[in-house]
Amino acid sequence: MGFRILRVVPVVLCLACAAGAAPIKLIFGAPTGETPRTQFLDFAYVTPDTKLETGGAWGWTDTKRLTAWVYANDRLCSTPCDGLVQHCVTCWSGTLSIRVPNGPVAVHLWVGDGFEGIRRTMASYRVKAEGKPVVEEAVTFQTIATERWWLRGESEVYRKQVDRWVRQVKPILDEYDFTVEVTDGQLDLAMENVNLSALVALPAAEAGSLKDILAAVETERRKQFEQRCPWQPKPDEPMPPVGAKDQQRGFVVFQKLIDDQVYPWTRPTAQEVGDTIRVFAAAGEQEPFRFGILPLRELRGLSVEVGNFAGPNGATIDAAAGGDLWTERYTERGSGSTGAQGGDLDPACDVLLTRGPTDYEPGLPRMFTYDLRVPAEARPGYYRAPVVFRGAGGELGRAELLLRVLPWKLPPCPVPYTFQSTYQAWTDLVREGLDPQAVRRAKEARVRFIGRYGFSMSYFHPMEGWGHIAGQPGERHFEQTPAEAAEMDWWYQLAMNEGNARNYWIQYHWPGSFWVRARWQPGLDYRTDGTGSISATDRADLVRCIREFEAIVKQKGYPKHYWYASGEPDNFGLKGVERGNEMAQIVRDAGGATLCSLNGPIGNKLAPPVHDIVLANHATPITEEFIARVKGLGHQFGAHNTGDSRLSAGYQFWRLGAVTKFQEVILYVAYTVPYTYLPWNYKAGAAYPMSDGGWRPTVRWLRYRDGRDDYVYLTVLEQRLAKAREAGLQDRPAVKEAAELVAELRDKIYLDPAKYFGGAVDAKEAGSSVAVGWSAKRFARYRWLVASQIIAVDEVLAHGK
Amino acid sequence: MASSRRSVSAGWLVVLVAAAAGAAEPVALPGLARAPRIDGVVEVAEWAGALTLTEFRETRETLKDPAVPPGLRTEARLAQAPGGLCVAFRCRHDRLDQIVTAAKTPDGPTWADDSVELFLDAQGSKYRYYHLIANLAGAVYDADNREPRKADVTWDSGAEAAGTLLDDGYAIELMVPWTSLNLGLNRGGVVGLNLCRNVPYTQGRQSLYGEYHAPATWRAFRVTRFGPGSWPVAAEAVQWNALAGRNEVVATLTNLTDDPLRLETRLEVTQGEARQRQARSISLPAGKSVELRLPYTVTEQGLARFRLMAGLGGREVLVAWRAVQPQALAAVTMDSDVLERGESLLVTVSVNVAPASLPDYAVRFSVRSPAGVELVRREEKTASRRRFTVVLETDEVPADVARVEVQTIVVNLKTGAEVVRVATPVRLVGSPWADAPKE
Repeated sequence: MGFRILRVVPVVLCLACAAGAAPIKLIFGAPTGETPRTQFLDFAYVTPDTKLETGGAWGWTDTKRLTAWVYANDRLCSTPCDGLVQHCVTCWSGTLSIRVPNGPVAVHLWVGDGFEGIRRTMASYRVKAEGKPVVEEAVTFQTIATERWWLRGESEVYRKQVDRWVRQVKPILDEYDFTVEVTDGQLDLAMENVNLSALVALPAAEAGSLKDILAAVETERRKQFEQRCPWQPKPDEPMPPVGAKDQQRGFVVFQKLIDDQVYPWTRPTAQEVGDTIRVFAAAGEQEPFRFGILPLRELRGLSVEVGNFAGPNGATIDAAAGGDLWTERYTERGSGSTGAQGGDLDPACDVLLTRGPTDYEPGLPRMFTYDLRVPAEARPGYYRAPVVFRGAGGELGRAELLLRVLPWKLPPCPVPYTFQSTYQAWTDLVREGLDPQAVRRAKEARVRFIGRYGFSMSYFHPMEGWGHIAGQPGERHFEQTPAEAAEMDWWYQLAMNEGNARNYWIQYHWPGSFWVRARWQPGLDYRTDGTGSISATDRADLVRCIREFEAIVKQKGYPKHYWYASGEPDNFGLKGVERGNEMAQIVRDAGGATLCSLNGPIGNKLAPPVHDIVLANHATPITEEFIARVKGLGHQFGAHNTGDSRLSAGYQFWRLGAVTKFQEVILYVAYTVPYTYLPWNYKAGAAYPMSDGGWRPTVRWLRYRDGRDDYVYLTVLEQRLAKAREAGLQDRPAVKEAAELVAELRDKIYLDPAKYFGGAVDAKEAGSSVAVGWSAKRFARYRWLVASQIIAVDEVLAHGK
Repeated sequence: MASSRRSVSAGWLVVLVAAAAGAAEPVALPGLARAPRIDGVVEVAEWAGALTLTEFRETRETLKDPAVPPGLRTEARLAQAPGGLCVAFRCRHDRLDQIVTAAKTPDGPTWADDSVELFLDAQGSKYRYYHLIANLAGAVYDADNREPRKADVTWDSGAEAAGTLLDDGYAIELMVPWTSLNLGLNRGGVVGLNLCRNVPYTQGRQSLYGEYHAPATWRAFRVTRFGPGSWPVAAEAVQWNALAGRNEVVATLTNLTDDPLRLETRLEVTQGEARQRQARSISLPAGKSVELRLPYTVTEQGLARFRLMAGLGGREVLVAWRAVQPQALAAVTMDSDVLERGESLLVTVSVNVAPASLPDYAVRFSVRSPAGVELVRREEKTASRRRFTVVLETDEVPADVARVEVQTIVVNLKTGAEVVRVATPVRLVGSPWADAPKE
């Protein structure tokens, strides 16, 4: 990172020819009429159209493959932090030439751009100056998942006096210095896969002035960053009372709930301070103990350990096997949408890391989460586990985790919570030097990640090598060799056994790529936007092949498939909806079942009659009438992108009464540079990559999971109420009270998920003229309220007769 | 939506300015002696002499053919009138059952409707531009884009728009007053302009010149009145307050001429039947800016429409517009409606009145039992705090009370009147740790 002097050519100074030559300063980007975007200090703007042959002092002399970009408030990038990163020319293969006096020339390159952060890491890149290698970077399968590239910033510990420009902006660009001897009056820079942002070239004899130029560039970039991304830390919250014990050990221990936001200026309230961290959970449930320390002095090499839980009648829970201890990492959230708006610059505790002994300064809270998987057979009652804080000199102090295991067991979620586990989940693995075995291990790790938290891998995309199309048009068949059958089975077994898909059904993403991957020839000429057409011959062949694929699914005992025939068809208007319906009809003709995800009024009108499962998002819109219409057609209703918060995963989803929650972007782990840096558009992934190809959770991921469990708690209560009604116990006070709570919640929660977007708290819920936001405290109290009602109804069921 | 009428535009003369669209030379905008009546009915006589523009292209990338289907063809008329820039659209539509007209309020999402758009680079900067979208209901979205695609929707144009549904499509008329366009900053008399149309059912995005938000690709036109000679004053910034209560508008006005000016300014505020007017005469030194402050009072009841006018010698030279719904007088949020017994409740109150009105209000909190007995009472003077959080202790609530009601009452201290009273039922539950054994 930073300046990397890869090769310095021995310099023979040619002062005569160099003297007085002005430095050449260039920035690179796509042509644009929006001229303010092409201006940065006194740098000239160079596009792929700038050719040296036209007589200028610089230009391209080889343009085998150049692409270019300039920011235009486009949806793929948040506001770039300065005028240097808002454009680039990606020189996949080409040569930039600059007319210079003969002699040694000093060059400074900026490589990278503000576009998602991805482009720079697409491939190994290299620069040759006058035929000699001067930049050589290996961006391969072996090197990508390191802090040099994709995981840049992973190990950084947020510090109080952090220079935010150095933290967020400087690492976006890689910079290179080299000096090269020019003998023909023309400096030739041959580049391969270089994402060129800017360049300065000047006679080596005047290289001293390069320092001034770089300083001016940094000054300007800092100034623009402050203008474009203004931010000030908030004042520290009031300190809680600090006891003698805290003073002596050098830190205050406190508890936070998983939905609390913790910033560097957060201070615990008096009620949150204490050495006992309390959590209740049902047997079989996963639940986080979230606690923090507020250092009162410098803490050297601090580490945290959690010991085993000791419970009633000698019961124990192995802390190491039964849970994960995480250190929370401060991260600026940025913009979670494609709108590039609302970028949050406040650093909040989010990414969960495994960290060894670390130095922590006073006055900045440090959070830890011990995420416990309560054994399904755990006895009800109270359990305690020690938490030991160690410093460089030994033990500093202790706290304890207090767990109350409730007297009932949390069942698996009755409906699948799925993600967009298709191309986004695997594209980062496809790189130069790819190791197929490592890719397979990474896929396994990612499916396990989904399954480990009780979510479902039941939405997926067909992979390569599962089968092939045999026969000529009019007689095509879907067939499998033994190797193809084994490959497909490996994937299905993984999804079923490690990704919980066995419990549910499969949402099968098929209309395009499946047939491509099965080598359908000649290529099909239909698109989801409604263009192209499906000939009668192809249609008959598709029906036959789908029927054959369905037969394999049945024979192998795989879960039922819903062929995902139409995804957000309103993006393409009426034609898109009609194409989705056409695809659904093909599946139906083959005896299969179909699924769609709707996002607008045209799909709302036309799609429900032809799809067995109708998912919808807020733009459809979702109304009581719409859901009733879907169900009235004998079809099922599901939720698509209705939100990634705890509320939308929990009570709001429960209010929808849907058969699945399909949330796309929450697992867009590979979409943008993950750890610290701008740019951050679409930074919506709630998991982060690890160096072994697997994923790690965030606090937001655990919130989403807790929301899912809010949903499961409520469904458990509803099941208990149904039992009580069956047993004629509906008039018992505890049963009536629980039924009232369910009815009250149904009344309170809006059906329209958009009411809660952006954390809106203007939802004036039933019976109240006050907006009661879904605070961490409110989630916790409702969870207990529902849990206590389950216990109360269970008591009635156990003793009612 | 306006009632259905037969189109009267069938006889439009198609003046082939489209052929000149690619030319570099600006085209003179024809003038109308009198502005058309903006009623959605495109009368041949009132638009006589206007440019007729027909070369709309489909620009949505997924609709690969740039040709507009016959059933969705668009014609536009464009002219300058004494009061403003005038545009009429005649939009054929082959699926009347698919026409969408959802937006009804100012700055609503008209772009998602069947709608027409005017992009106007009024200063000829090829970078900054005004953007207006109107739908059949006459709802207008307008914004000042200080850079492409970065909209400041607090800018209002004062444009009039009206639409009419026809047997084979619809028509929309639109007029933007010159006085809101800061044309004094335009020294060359050339403006950039584009007209567009949105068709939701095909996801169509028709554009007449170039691309939607790309001012460098639009067509240049000459306007008759521009620069400081016609428009000697520019509005650098106009700040309105959207709070109920006593406010003031703060406008920074710049004299673009080399002579001192004596301006007559007037602020008109309309809210329902209520009308206010403030007038002030100000001196503007040559080439200098002056900050103008004019007071006004609005309530939270209904949309408030503002019009700030600057006149010179009896002629309006600048008008700033704004339509805004003032915020509700108070917003109350609570951190939970379920509490563990004895736990405190955090109530956050935002009193949304102008700062000058804050000392007039106090906030009372009352926790009551189901029988209406007051168990906890507290009062807070708002003083200078627009937003504050109160910790309401509930430990005095008797152990047998499982539900309470928390009332928040905002009182006007001057009149003694309760202006807000909101109530929330709160449940009290036992602690999960009540029977935890002591270690």
